[in-house]
Amino acid sequence: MTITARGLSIVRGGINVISDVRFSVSSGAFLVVLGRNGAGKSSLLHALSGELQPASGEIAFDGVNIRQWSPVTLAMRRSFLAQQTDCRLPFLAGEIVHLGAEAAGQRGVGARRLVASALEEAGVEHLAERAMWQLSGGEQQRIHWARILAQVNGKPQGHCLFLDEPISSLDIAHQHELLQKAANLARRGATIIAVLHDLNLASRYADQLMLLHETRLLALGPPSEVLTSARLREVFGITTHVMPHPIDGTPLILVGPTTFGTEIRTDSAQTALQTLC
Amino acid sequence: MTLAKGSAFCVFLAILSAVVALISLRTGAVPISWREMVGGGDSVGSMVFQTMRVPRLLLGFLCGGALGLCGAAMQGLFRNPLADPALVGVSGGAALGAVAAIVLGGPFLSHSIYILPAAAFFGALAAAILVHVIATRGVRVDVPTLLLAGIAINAFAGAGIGWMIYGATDSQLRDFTFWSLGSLAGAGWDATLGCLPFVVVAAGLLAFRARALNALALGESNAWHLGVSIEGVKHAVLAATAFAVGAVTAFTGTIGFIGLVAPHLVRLAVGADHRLVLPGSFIVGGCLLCAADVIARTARAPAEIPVGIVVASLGAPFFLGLLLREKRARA
Amino acid sequence: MRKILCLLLLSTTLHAATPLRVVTVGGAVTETAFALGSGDVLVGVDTSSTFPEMARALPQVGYQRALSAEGIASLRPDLVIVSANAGPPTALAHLAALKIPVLRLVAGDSLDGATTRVLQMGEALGREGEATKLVEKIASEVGARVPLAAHSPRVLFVMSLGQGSPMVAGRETAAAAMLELVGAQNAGNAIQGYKQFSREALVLLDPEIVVTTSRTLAANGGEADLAKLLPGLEITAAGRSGRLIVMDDLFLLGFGPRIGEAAQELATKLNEPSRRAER
Repeated sequence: MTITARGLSIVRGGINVISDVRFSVSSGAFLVVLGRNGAGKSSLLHALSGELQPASGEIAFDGVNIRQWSPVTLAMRRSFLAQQTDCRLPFLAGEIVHLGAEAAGQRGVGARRLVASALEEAGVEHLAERAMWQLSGGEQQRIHWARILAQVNGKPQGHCLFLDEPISSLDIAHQHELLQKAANLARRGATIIAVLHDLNLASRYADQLMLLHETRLLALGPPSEVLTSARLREVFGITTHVMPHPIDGTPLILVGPTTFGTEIRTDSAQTALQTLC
Repeated sequence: MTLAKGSAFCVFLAILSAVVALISLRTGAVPISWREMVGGGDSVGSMVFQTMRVPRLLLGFLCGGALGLCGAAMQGLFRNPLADPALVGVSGGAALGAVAAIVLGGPFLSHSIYILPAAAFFGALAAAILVHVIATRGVRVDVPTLLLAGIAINAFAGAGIGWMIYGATDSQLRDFTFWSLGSLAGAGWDATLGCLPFVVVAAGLLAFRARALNALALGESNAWHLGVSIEGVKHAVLAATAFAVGAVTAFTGTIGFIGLVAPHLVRLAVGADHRLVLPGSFIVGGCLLCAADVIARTARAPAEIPVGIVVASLGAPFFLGLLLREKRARA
Repeated sequence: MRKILCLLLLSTTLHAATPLRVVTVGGAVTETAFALGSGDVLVGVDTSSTFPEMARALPQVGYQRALSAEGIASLRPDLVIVSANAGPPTALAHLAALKIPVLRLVAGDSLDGATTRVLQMGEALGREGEATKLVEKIASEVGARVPLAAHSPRVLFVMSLGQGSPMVAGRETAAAAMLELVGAQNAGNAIQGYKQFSREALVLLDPEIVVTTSRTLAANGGEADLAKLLPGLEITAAGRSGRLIVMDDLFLLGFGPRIGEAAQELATKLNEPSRRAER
């Protein structure tokens, strides 16, 4: 699915978070949106998914303005995984995944089969009969990931997945597992738009990065182009050293040694330390 | 939810209802023979059966059912198993309407026995509409505002009730107190048939919202992304509660607890899926109220205990017991 | 004349035969039934039927304004006699639908009302003779009450003490009617019905004597000491003299067959000299 945004401006609580953003993402792309807290990353995702009404501008899915899509049709073509979901009623994990299957238009036997395969794909089939409140935060998130997979309904081509900081409660192995799966879906034709905080994860899995800074789209391109020390200093105010991964060459971002000062060479650092002690 | 679990539950509910109905029809202050029940005629027994027992059973089911159903719907709307139909001001409004009729109605009350229920119903409706209007902007119902508006309207109704009580005579005070304890004693065919259309409307409004309420449990954002019309379901739940709970409270007074306990019991048995919880809460709520009414009618015969007291006296310890058991299970 | 017409009208709705199973609803109604010698036909009474002692042993049909039609019907009564206060209307309607005769007595907290009710019941129970005798007895008792010495005292009737805001009887209450019957002044005459007064407002009324019921006393420590019950009244005449009269609720306010005795006792007590020396 191709997603295009033109002249997009978003206002939250009277404050302009994004001004006049314009970009296009096509099928098979894995776009990660980066930026500081409050830069408008989540708002952008919520606007693109159709939930948040932008102050101005137009968003289109496959060329059709998003306002013209009915919620039911939208649900069959795009899904949204939030950072954290609160559920106080005693639903079972399997029942939660079932909601995704229903959104994809499945009922009865078809739905149950879809739920089973989604649970397996997410690696959580052993949790199906457990109550959600009994699961840890990470396990719950993986169940919601299974729900999203159910919504995809085995047809990644033409589907867009929005992932809003989806891995913050997951351990490192499951973080990679989820992002790997998303990347596989992208390879099969899905469009992935994700917000991540970890620059290295973004670098590894995204094929396009978007950097938002002070309401503007600062950069949009492959990781090697977007992730430079200068850019990162400009946006995050931190000192980084970017080097290629020793094995496959993808950009590796190392922070420090002094995170918030200017870049210092190693021998000067030693001198500085000696002076202090 | 498997098909087997759903079907087993339905069978169980059917049997439960039949048993409760039978016990309810067979017990009471007046002994009634099987022949009088089935055959009709105009002995005291058959007359009591036809004009009092049967409509009372039906009213009990309608009332308990409406409270259970709307309780479950409210819990789905507020995404919290502690929600109750009283939260949106319906019971407060009904009580205010009733006490106003009792204290100010005076001469009119003797003209028609429908003045009191009508006043209570309009009080309930007015409160619900007010709460709805306060919490709605455009099409969107803001649920946190709904909760606060409900609290405010209940408090306001409480103040109004206080004024009425202050100006009431002794017998008016007693009348209102008994009304607010809740009772099925006024049940006749008119009360039962009076409630019926409202409960039917409410059931109709909620009939196909089970899936939407399931999705809503994950929050409005997630529900929206799952393609559910969240504003539609919110309006439906509010309207259904206003009609059904308003109508039954108008005829039977304020009966608490059932809206809380019935859905809880159903969830313990079959889980949180609203496709089972909504109809299940209706049946279980109806059975609970009818069972409580049997006790209310027979424990101190020939006098009657207001059924609201029986429900609270048995319901509260039972609910506490459930909570303690769950607490131990989770520990 | 209107009384006789009413009786004639009512009599047409009753059975000609003497009822053998009667339910009475209302303290004064039950009392009257016993006073007329029909205590043995009673099969059910309400919660306010506390006199005579035997009435308490009868089956209970509940609070008079929250009756249960089925409950009353289960006692298989030939006649149900209810006070004007009885309810709810739906229960009475159900009884009518079950073809159980219901006699609703006239209302009225007055001597007239009381005597009419006695006559109504006498007719319904087939005890006309006894009813007439009872009416005469009441009339003579009221007439024989001790007239109040000197002036007509200002009497404050307190119904309940409600946490510092006592409930005072104003006009158009049973208490006011009793005070009027014995010729006393009702200190609460300015208001209508029973209303809660602040202690300050009570002081303004400056009562000379305070009357309350035994139930109120029992609910507030049980000691017949005015200073303890209504502290703050010290500057009023009642407070200085400590004059407090306590009488049984049903006896004093029931306007039943004992109304004559009640009037006599109240008048006598109002005449008693103060119990404490004037300060």
